[in-house]
Amino acid sequence: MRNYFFRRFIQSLFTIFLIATVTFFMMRSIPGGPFTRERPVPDEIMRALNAKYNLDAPLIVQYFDYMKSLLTFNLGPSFSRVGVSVNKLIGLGFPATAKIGFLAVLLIILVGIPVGIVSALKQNRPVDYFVMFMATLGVTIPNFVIATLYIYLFAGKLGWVPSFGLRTPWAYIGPILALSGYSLSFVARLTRSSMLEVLRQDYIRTARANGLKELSVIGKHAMRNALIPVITYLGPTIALLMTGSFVIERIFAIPGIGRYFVESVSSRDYTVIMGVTVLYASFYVLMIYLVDVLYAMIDPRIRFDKEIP
Amino acid sequence: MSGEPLLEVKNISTSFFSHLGEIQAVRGVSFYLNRGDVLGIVGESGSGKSVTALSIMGLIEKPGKIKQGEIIFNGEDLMKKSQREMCELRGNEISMIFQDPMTSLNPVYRIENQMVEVIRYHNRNLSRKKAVAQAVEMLRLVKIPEPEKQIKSYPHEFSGGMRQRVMIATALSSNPGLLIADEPTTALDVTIQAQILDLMNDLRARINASIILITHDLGVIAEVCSRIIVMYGGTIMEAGNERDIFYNPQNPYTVGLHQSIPSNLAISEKRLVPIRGTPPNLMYPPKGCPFSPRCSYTMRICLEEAAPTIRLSDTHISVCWLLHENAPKINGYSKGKIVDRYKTPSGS
Ligand SMILES: Nc1ncnc2c1ncn2[C@@H]1O[C@H](COP(=O)(O)OP(=O)(O)OP(=O)(O)O)[C@@H](O)[C@H]1O
Ligand SMILES: [Mg+2]
Repeated sequence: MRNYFFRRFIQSLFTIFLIATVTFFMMRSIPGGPFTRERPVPDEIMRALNAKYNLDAPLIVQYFDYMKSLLTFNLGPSFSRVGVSVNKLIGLGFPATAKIGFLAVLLIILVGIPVGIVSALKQNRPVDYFVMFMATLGVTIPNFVIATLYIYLFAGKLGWVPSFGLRTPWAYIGPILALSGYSLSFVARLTRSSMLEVLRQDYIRTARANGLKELSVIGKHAMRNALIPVITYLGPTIALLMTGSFVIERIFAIPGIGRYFVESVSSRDYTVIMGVTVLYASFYVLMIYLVDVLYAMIDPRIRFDKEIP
Repeated sequence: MSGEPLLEVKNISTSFFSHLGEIQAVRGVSFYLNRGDVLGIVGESGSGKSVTALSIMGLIEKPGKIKQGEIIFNGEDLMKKSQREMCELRGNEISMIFQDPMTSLNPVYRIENQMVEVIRYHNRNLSRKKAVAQAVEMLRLVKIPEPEKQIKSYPHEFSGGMRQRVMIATALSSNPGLLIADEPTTALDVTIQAQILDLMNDLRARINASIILITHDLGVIAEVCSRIIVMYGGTIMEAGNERDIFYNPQNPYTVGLHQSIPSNLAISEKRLVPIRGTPPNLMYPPKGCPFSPRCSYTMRICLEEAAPTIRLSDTHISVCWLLHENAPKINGYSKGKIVDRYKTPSGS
């Protein structure tokens, strides 16, 4: 078991390394550079700039230099924002993004899962219909529509919440709802269907035949099995939410990381692209790793320590 | 051993109310079970055996409903009990094991966890340690090798036969008065089947439980059951002891079952004769005898009126018009007295 976790961990690190490498070379293969402008820049200035940022060295040398500094978590200087390091940029943007993301994740887990369970237990009753109606809306309405409507109604018409920024606790509600809307609905539906599926299983009938109370039948025997698909979905979703949504940060004017990322792509700000990509990738890989660990803990059938030679 | 019955089922009917209509899975079934006896229920797939068992357990779920009848267990009517009282009873005084041991244990918990939960649920004063010790003892009783070690296993690490043993061990851990085994060996291969049946028989003698053994295999029933009920289309066709059902079957359906089942010793040299046709649609059960569309002796009355219950001996009843005194005499079938449909024969 411990062996398996260790192996998976090394695999994860390797995946991040691969992503970094592929991104590095792909990024360099597209035309243009950080100092390309619409009006041609004089040659000597260009050369000086390239020399300053070491862009005139052979690509492979630049690659190794970058990887070396990556090992020390130094993401280098930004090209388009003079004097600001990528670490600094991430430090500026990431807290707001992560805060919204984290709260969205909490909302999904604390509301989506219980609602799904209740809905399953009350199958085909009014509560169930209501939940499924809301969840269907949540899955089908795009997040920017939710965001815009929300601002129009609660910030504009009613004036209950500010329409931008994160200055008061109330300001968090809109971004969180817009960010989590889809996943919240999806998790509620997934939990419901998974629960209904599990409740039909023979071992649930066994638990009942053994006289166990509904609390144990549902809370213990059904729950753990029903959560397996939910966890599979949640892993990558959490990574996605924690790294934020450019659209939502834009609509609510949240000083998050999304904006730097989008800007960096069009301005060929190589180091920012790399830094944010590596950050996203790390999150993703970490979450998938955690899902695997959780999996192995929840479902004994998925333990890989007995290797087939 | 006999005396007042442990269980009396009186005229129960259970239906499932689906979108398409009412599926009358069990229609007026009555029987009794004496203490220490093994009652066999046989019948084709869909004849209502499982639904009868689940009705006794109080485990009929939502679209299903027990429409009428009484289930007297130990002198108390189970139909009058609350859900909570039934929980106390289930797994404690009445236990049930199911057909498919591969899927009947929860895959994500250790055997120990599942057994101890049940043991302690029904005996709250027991310490965890003692409950584990008891679980180990039960596993030893059902002949799981190295039970102290094996109890830490997960279900997927066990074979089907071992899992069914675990099911039996759990079911018997609280010394139930009644064990209902719903096709406990159907999913297992033949050698394991025999072992499991032996084991159940052995345990019954040891802990003095009564057993209802459900199967569609007459051969299985012959060896262990003291009384046998033959079910078809949600009703009882014939009931009697082993000798009655095996050597003097008095219902065309029972005879058909005998001829269509390879494991039957009595006619093993003869060719197998399948019963023609298919079981009745329980959404629209036949007005008369449910077997009449497939029976070779069908008379007009069979199609129109439910057959009477005919008493042939102290132990033997058959539900069939052929045995009525006005029916033509047919070789192999005798005549008897009509008795009240819902009274079961006394003694055994
Ligand atoms: N939950 C349910 N919903 C609807 N119909 C049901 C349900 N359970 C059983 N039935 C119907 O009740 C009838 C009797 O089923 P039952 O399971 O008692 O048969 P059985 O004699 O146990 O057959 P088998 O040998 O296949 O187990 C069948 O026609 C079945 O379709
Ligand atoms: Mg059945």
